[in-house]
Formats: sequence, structure tokens, C-alpha cells
Amino acid sequence: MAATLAPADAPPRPPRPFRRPSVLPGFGLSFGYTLACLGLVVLLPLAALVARASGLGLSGIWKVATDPRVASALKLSFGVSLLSALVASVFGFLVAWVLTRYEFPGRKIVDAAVDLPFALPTAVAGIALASLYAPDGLVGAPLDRLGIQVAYTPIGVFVAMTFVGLPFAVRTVQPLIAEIDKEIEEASATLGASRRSTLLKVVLPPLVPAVLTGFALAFARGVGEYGSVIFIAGNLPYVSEIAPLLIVIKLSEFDYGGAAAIATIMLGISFLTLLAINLIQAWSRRRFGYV
Amino acid sequence: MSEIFSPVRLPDSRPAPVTGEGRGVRTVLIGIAVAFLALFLVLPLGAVFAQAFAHGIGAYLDAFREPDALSAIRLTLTVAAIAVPFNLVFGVAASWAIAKFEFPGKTFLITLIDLPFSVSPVVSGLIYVLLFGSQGLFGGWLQAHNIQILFALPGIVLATIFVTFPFVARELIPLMQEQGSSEEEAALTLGASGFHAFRTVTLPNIRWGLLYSVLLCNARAMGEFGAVSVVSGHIRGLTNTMPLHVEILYNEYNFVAAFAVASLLAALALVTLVVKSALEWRFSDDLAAGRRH
Amino acid sequence: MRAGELLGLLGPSGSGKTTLLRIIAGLDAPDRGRILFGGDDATGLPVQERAVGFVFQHYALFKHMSVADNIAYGLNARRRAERPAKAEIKRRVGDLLDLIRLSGFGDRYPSQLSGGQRQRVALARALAVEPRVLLLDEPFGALDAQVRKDLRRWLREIHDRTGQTTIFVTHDQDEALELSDRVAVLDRGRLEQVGTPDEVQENPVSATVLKFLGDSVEVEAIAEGGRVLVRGRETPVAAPAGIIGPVKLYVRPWQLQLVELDAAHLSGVVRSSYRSQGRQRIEVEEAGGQILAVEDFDGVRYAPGHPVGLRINGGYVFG
Repeated sequence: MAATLAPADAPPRPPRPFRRPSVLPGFGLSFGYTLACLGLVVLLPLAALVARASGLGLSGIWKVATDPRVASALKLSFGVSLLSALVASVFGFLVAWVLTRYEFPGRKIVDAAVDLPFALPTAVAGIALASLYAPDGLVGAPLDRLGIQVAYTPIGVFVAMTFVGLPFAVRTVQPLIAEIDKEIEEASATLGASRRSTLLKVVLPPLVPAVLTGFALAFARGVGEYGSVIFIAGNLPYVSEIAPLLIVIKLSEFDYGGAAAIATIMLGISFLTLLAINLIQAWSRRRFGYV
Repeated sequence: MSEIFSPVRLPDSRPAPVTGEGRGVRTVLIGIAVAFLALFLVLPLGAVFAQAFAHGIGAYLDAFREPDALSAIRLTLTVAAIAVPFNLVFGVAASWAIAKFEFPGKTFLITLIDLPFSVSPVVSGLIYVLLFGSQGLFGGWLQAHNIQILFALPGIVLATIFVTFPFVARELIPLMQEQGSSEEEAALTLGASGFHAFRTVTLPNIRWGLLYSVLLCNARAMGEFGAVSVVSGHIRGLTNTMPLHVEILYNEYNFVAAFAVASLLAALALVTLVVKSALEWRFSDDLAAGRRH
Repeated sequence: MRAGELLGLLGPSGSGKTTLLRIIAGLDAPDRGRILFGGDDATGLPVQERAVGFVFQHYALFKHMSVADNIAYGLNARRRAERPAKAEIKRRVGDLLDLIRLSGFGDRYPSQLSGGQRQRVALARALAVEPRVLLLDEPFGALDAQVRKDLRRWLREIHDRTGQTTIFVTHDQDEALELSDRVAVLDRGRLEQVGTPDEVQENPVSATVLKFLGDSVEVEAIAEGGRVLVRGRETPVAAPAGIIGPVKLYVRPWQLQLVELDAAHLSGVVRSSYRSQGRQRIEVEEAGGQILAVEDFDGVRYAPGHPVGLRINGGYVFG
């Protein structure tokens, strides 16, 4: 704090202070505490992972990743979460549209229900989904008669990932739909455009960045999801075993290196996703002047 | 011009409102959305309670006569009682530093605070194992001094703090940025001390946002499964939290007991949702506008 | 409304002027009445087929489209058979960009333009479809004073050059009186008066119109023998036929003159006087407490408290 005050005989241009001066107190204390917590709780443990992974080297990580069981788990985790993020985005958009554009009885309750997957502990969601979609479950039984088995197959993984991803898809698009200026649609209509063409050319394009962001968030959540997936997945190696579960298995075998390698790959993917989201938002801000 | 006001009965060919869909389309879309949410989100919640009471209220209550269940509940409450206040203090400090002052690297700092959100729960647990496990960075030293972090309360608390780390800060930073610092500055010009200004001006302004974020933080802290599962060691009656106890019971095919314990967590989730929605409806202006989950 | 004219819809906020504009455009449905375009009934016609050009108060530009795409939007929205060829659309967009003096801005996005520039793009977009009538909703409402003045003059020029039938809505009397061929004054959903700016100013049909077009003072008066008397003294104002007894006389500030007390209709003491735009404006407080504003070129300065007399040189009485 004192560093912001230049001594009396300072040269004409004092060095730029670290922070812009302010009369409010407490910067040193709150900033220091923030850094300390961040360092101890978040950065130090993550550094332990990085240290362990760099001990393995790229070739070590590659060796783990190409192990058939690990490779098939990674493929399942990424493939299914991409698919479920896609489905969550489509239905999420529909839900967000209906919730912001239409007035109907019970709208607020439906709106609140969207957050259910956020609030419900993943293990609870997991056993509930498993019991519903099991071959003798409420939803699973009729599907079973049609020859579709959901639980203990990749379809089950898909159901669980869509469940946890849906709120992300809804909540990223919803505020933007609410902000659409009705005059934009009216302007399009006075210029002779049909409703369909107004929707396609005027209403939807500005929402694309938000839909992509929601998709990326749902995807990231799906890849890392553990609790809601493992019960319904059945965890058959090479069939319905997800990457996070493999980390747990490696740990229980005290194979810290293997666990760290899989975790590094997953972490790398989530950083790329995060980067993609930031790029989408930067692009959108430049182009439209908003996120 | 004056024709506009002449009292001629209008033919029934009014143009449809141009910014909405027709009644039919609207009804179909609402129907699809509501049916999808009911089947996909609400049904699982109903299933929890249905299964919990499948064999009557007696069997339901029996689940809570188990000493292991009681110790799981106790542990979960203990963990939340440590992790939530920790993140509360951290969140307030971080948002004060970030929202009220200008310094370089601010965006990067916010990204770092957000980091735990984008890390898989299992990885969140793993990093503590790599730090404190027997083969971990500090493993040897801890063993030599006979300090137990992993497979004990400290490990569970740490993992829980990690996964709930961003909750309070993320809600408060945009909220405090929106409110600016002019009110605090006014308080200082009126002779208030810094702490007095914080207590009498800042806190009342952020109280609903604070309550909101603590609520969500608590729900996640009590319900966390993946991260805690990795660091707890699953010792029955000792290091089992409620979600872990649910898993064990479920894997033992003790469905009624599993869903009974799960129903407590589900009820917590419901209460959280209700209070959260009530806060949003009543105090939407006092909550950060740019909130995202 | 006459073809080719520039009509100003003037009224206080809430008087229904924007609603009327939206009804003409087909954005809102009327409770009763019909909309006629040159004798054709357009009441049941959907907005897309009305061929109106609507310029919104906040422009409503498509943020994700370039300026050129915004202007071409209405042409591209046409059915294939009626749509001009690509080259033709491009040429027209170029012409319109010239017209709004934004040549070379075609590739920019609305977020890169100033308020005044956006307003001009919105106008070009509306003109591109060659509308039967151009509708402008508070076209200068969101702009600052200087830009507003420039755009006003420019809009008049454009109108004179294109002869486009135009209706614009405003709550600013100056704007309406300066720009319009004819002014329509609305109040609480009723059309009060339509006429040239001179007509409505010289012969307002009601107190509402009069009050809305500028400052006035209300004076108790008596109508007698075809003349209007104030405090027993005759004024030059003629009473409308058939009106006898107490009436309200509305007087503009420039219809009052400072005179000796014995020749005055009204009297009071000076409360304040100041000079603005070459005129002396004096506020006089009557014995009853009513404030009378007087405008004068005289230039004599009166100290507050100075007793003065006022002569009424004109005014309006409504039946």
C-alpha cells in the first residue's frame, strides 16, 4: 500500500504503482489472503499433478493413453459427452425459448426445475437414474420391451451426461433470448420478411455464440462427470467404463502415475474447452458488442 | 387520416402479432419442453422418494437407526461447517480485492479462481492424493510425523473446499463491481473507518447475493461425491459422508436404505432450489445480473 | 394524408402517437377503424405485405449484419420472383449509402457506428424497399442536441429530393413545426387538429393544442357583445360567435406588453427578468399569485418588486 506514495524528492515521473490508488482500505489484506488461499487450495495441488505428469513425460502419458482399456474409456467419455452436449444444447435452447418467450401457468416452477441437476447431489441423481432406466425400472422396462437397453450401456452414460449438462445449455442462452429486442423482429417484418425467415436470419444468428458456449460448458461437465454416471453405466471395461472411473481404479491399485496421466489428458481437454469458450466470447464481443 | 378513427367494425382478419408464434406452435413447443423436463429432470427426483418409501415409513426410518448412517450425516455436517465458512471468508476477501481495486492481471486471477469449476471431481480428489498420499509429494514427511490427512477428515474437507472454491467469489465479484465503490467512499468522507464502512455499507448491499451463493456452496459441499470419494478411503462409520454412504448401500443392494439417505440429500436440494428461486424472484436486482452457473 | 407530404405526428407522451404509427405499419391491430393506403383497405393486411418503411426509435439494426447487409435485408427477403438480381441489390445499396452519406461504410457493423450514423442506416434500410409510406418513430429521440439539429435538416433535404410520403412521430414541437408540411396534434388517443405548421400555431382548435405548442397564460375573462373583456377593459380579442359570459382567455407571452398601470388589463410586480436569445423575458406576479410571463424586445430592465401593468394584444378563446 505504501508503495503507491512517492517520496518527496522523487523524479518527475514516479514509477507506475501496481494498483491504481484508491481511498478504500484493505487491499493488501484482502489481496494477500486471496492469493494465499488460491495458492494453497488450488494451485499447489494442481502443481502436484503437473509435477507427477511431467515426471512421466509425453511418452509416458502417451503410453497410458494408448492402453486399449484407457483409450476406449477416453473415447467413450469424449464421444458420448459431445453427443449429449449436442442434445442438451438443442433441448436446452427449446426450453430457454419457451421459458422466456411464452407465458403459461407454472412457468416459474418449470424455470426453477431446470436447476435440479445443479442442486441434486450427483450420487443421488446417479442411483435415481439407474433405478429408473434399469431393465425393470419405470422407464427402462418399456424401453427394454422395444429392445432398447439403456442402463449398463453407453446409452445410459449418454442419459446421465445429458441430465447434468442440460442446465448449462439452458442458462447460457436464456438471458440472451430475454434480451432480444422485439423491435429487431418488428423491423424485419416491416421489411417484408416472413416469420420463419425473421427467426433464421435475425433472431438466431446473434444467439449462436451463447449456444456454442453452453455446448462447451455441457461438454466439459459431461467429460468430467463421475457420480451421476457410474451407477447407470454399469462400468463394463471396453463398453461403458468412463475415464474418471479409470482414474479411481488406477488409484485403488496405487498406480498414481497412470491416474495422473489420465487426469492430465482430461485437464488438457478442459483447458482447451475453456480457451474455446473465451475465444467465442471475445469474438462475439468484437462482432456484436456483447457476449 | 381521419379514417383511422371512424367507428367501422373490424373484420376478423386482424394481423397476427409479428413477434410471436401462432397459438398452435406455441402450445406444441411448451408441451415438448415441459414434457421433456418432467420426464428427464423431475421423474428422477420423484424416483428417489418413491424408492425410499417403497417398503413403508417404518423401513424408511430404520435406515436412520443405523449408526453408520448417523455417523455419515454427522461427518457431512462437519465438513460443510468447515468448508462453507472458509469459502465465505475467501469469497468476500477475493471480491473486495477484485471489485474495489484496479490492478493488472485481474482477469487472469478470476480465471484461476474459476479453475476448480472446470476440473473433473475425480481429478479434484486425485490432486490431493498426489500431494498427501503415501507416494505423494508430502506423503513421506506426513507419515514420519504421523499426521493423517488422506482418508481422514482434513482430506475430505480440503477436497470439498476445492470443488466449492469459486461459488461465493463468482457471485460476489460481478455484484460488487456493479455496485462500484462510491457508497464506501461516501462513508469514508463521513468519517467511517474502513471496517465500519464495510460492515455498514458493503455487507448490507451484498447480503442477498451472499446468502444465495452460500446456499449453493453448501448444497455442493454436502452433496459432493467424486472428489470426496477419492480422498475418503470409504471407511464405514469414520470417513463416509452421506453421498458415499448412499453409494455403499446401493452397491450392497440395500435400496431402501440407500434411497432413504438419498432422500435427505434430495430434500436439501429441493430446499436449496426453493430458497434460491425465492431469492431470485424477490431480490433479482440485488443479485448479480451477469450470473452464470 | 396526401401523397408525397411530410406529416408530423405531435403529442405529449402517452397520447397514442407511437401506437397510431404501429397500427399504420401493421405492428399493432386497431380496436376499430380502418387503414387505407391510397383507397386500398390495408387493415387486414399482414405487416409483411404493407410495404411500409418503419424506422424505430432505437434503430433496431441487425447487429450481426454489416451495414450493407442491413440495407439489403428487405430486398433479400422478397420472394425469388420479385427479388432484384444480386448486382441490382448491390447497386441500390451503394446508391442508398451515398444518399445517407456513408459511402464506404458498407462493411462496418452497427456496433462500430455512432448514434447518428446508425439512425441514417436505419433510414436507408427502410427506404431500400421503396415503401408506400415511410414511418419514423421519434427519429431523433436518442441523439444529442447538435446531431439532432443536423439530422433534422438532412431529413428534410432527403424528403424534398425523394418525395417519399412520410409520417414521423415526435413530442418536440420545434421539431414538428420545423420539419413538417403538415402537423397532426394528438392527445389521449384523439386527433385534435391537422394543419400546416402556420395553421396550427395561428388557429389552434383547442386549449390542448394551444398549450402543447408553446407557453401560454390563462386569464379569467368575460365574453360580451362579440368582444372579450378582462377586468372590465376591452381587449382586441374577438369572442367566438354565440359565446357570452365568463370564459378563459389564453395569451402567449409575446401577446402581452408592459404598459403604464392606467392602460393595463393586468397588473403585478416583477419577480425576475432575464435575457435569452435576444429577447427580454420578464416574469410578473399578479396579486393572486399567478405568474405571467412576458416576452419583449424592449430591453428595459426592471428590478424585482417593481410594479408593472400588462396590456393584452391578442389571445385565444375556445368554445
